[in-house]
Amino acid sequence: MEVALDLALSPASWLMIFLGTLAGTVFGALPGISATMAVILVLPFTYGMGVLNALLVLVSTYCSAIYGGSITAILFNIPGTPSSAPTTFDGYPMTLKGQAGKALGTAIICSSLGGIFSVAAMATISPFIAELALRLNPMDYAAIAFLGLGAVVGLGAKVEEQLKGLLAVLLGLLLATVGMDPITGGDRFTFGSVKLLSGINMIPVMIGAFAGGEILSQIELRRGLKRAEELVFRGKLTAQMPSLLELLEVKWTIFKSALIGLFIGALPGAGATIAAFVSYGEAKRSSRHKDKFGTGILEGVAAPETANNASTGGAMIPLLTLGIPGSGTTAIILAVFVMYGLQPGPLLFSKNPELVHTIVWGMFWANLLMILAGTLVVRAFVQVLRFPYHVLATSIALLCIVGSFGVGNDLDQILIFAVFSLVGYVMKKLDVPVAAMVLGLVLGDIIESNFRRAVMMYGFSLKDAVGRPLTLSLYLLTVLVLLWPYISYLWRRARSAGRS
Amino acid sequence: MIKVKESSFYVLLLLGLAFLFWHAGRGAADAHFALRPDWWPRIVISLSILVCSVLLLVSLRSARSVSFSGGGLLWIGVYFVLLVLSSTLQRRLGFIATTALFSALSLAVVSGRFRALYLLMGVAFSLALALIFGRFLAMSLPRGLGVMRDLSFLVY
Repeated sequence: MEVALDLALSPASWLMIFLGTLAGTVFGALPGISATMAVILVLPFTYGMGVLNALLVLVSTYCSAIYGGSITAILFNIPGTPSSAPTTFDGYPMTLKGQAGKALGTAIICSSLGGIFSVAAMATISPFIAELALRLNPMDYAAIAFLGLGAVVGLGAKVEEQLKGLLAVLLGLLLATVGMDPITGGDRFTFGSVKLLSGINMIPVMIGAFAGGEILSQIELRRGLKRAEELVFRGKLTAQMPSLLELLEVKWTIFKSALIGLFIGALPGAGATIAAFVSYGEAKRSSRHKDKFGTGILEGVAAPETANNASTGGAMIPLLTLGIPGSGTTAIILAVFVMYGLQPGPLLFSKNPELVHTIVWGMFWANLLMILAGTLVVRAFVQVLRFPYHVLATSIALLCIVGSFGVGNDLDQILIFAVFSLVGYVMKKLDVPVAAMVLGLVLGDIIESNFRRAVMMYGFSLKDAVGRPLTLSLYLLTVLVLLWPYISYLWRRARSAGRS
Repeated sequence: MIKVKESSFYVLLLLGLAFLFWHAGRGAADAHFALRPDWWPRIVISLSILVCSVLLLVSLRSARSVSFSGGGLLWIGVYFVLLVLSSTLQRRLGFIATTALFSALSLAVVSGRFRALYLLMGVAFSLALALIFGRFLAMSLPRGLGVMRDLSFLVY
């Protein structure tokens, strides 16, 4: 741990954390750029760095991008990231009441507190989960990965949304089969191409599906930042920290929101956006001032901002301990691990403990540095919104091209990026979730190799392979997660019928 | 505004999946199911066909269409071609020239108009990226062929 602290406090590490925090806050503040896209855009800058510095930059960007979305949410009622949408409910009304500075200050402090809480929880819980994970067999890993995909599918409120989520997941699993069969070495879907033998690299797919698809959508709609240009905040603007008394008044809201964010972030497939909405809803439900929510109160900003940043540590727990990403953003971080020849999971804790601890310290410092970045430069960030959208879109496209090329210095990856930009655009038009496809691609290899290995281990008996208590429980949990929307609907109907 | 029936996407996808299902089985050795390379892909494809069929039925019942802005669709096509060209041209022209060209055209496509300033901006973007990634971060950027290759050494 001391070695990790030394590494995380070295001048180079500080610089990486600071740059990552700055970049994440700027990108997060730009409407139309999610935290996932922020990490994607920073990714090409990390290719020349060692694995440690690259991961420090990426996790700092991740943490601060989630916070950055609150800036435009509060000032212009435009969430910079989807997870800042609930912040607009009370943040923007506070701006209208002339309390923009206080709202921004509250967002900074609560984001930082939420992030630090989740990092501490991550550091405490992860070693135990990693220890437990060493006892899992291949079928258990496959079952956990299925649970993750099931959670993504189960997020859909309606049947059709769930089916679209399932289709996206299956397409991702199918993409993961391109290349060499992990068990027998035979080629699949290569169509005679030598390049496809190594499979489809997930990074240009992610860059294309998330960022490229968004650019194409904006080209069609010609929306995006044009609105924000016209709304540049005039006059002086600084973040004003809430007083200790004001923070103490909302201490239970902050604590509960941090727990909600941590738990939801740890669920594969769920992320900061769901954490923020659930936490806002819970804060409103349990508050003594329910009727004041939506009129511009501190509690309404504190809840979602604490939860969305608390989800970052939660999302890193399954990634570091099981090698299963908890969100689209952590899927990119997983890809970076793989790029450097590392496999996150329980063995990472025994083989590279200093890496894990350095990530923990890095996230801790990033959450603290966020206060400095947000407080000192919030007005400068607002000015970034003056950039016309076509300049921003071109810059993003260029970073995507460099990011795709940089994976193995292969120009064909740009073609993959281009193709998946089109795929991402079409998926958006059809309301098919892109994140589900990406998670399917990321987890496809884990699921297939572990599933087939387990079947072979148990003498090719599917019944024996699935029949172990832990494995069976995980599969039943997956089914429960998939059926949960219907179960809760029937439960609500039964309760209202009982009342009437 | 161009309207395309949502069902047509699912039909195209079904055709593609059917082809992949057939292709997966080609040349697969006769072995136990878990050892066959086509076993897992065929399970995934079968489930995909099932889900896609259900979505096709739902979309046919609701008769839903997806709207595309006619002009926007054209520009998307142009932008896609630009992205593809940015990959192929870099082999010959190298990073700087291709990126400058791409940037200028991208600015024109996204803004909907062409200005001479975009050419200057394209060159500026290109040089900035070449310096940051090629020189400062020591990435091996494409150099192109012939005189383009020689010129690239001046920058990175």
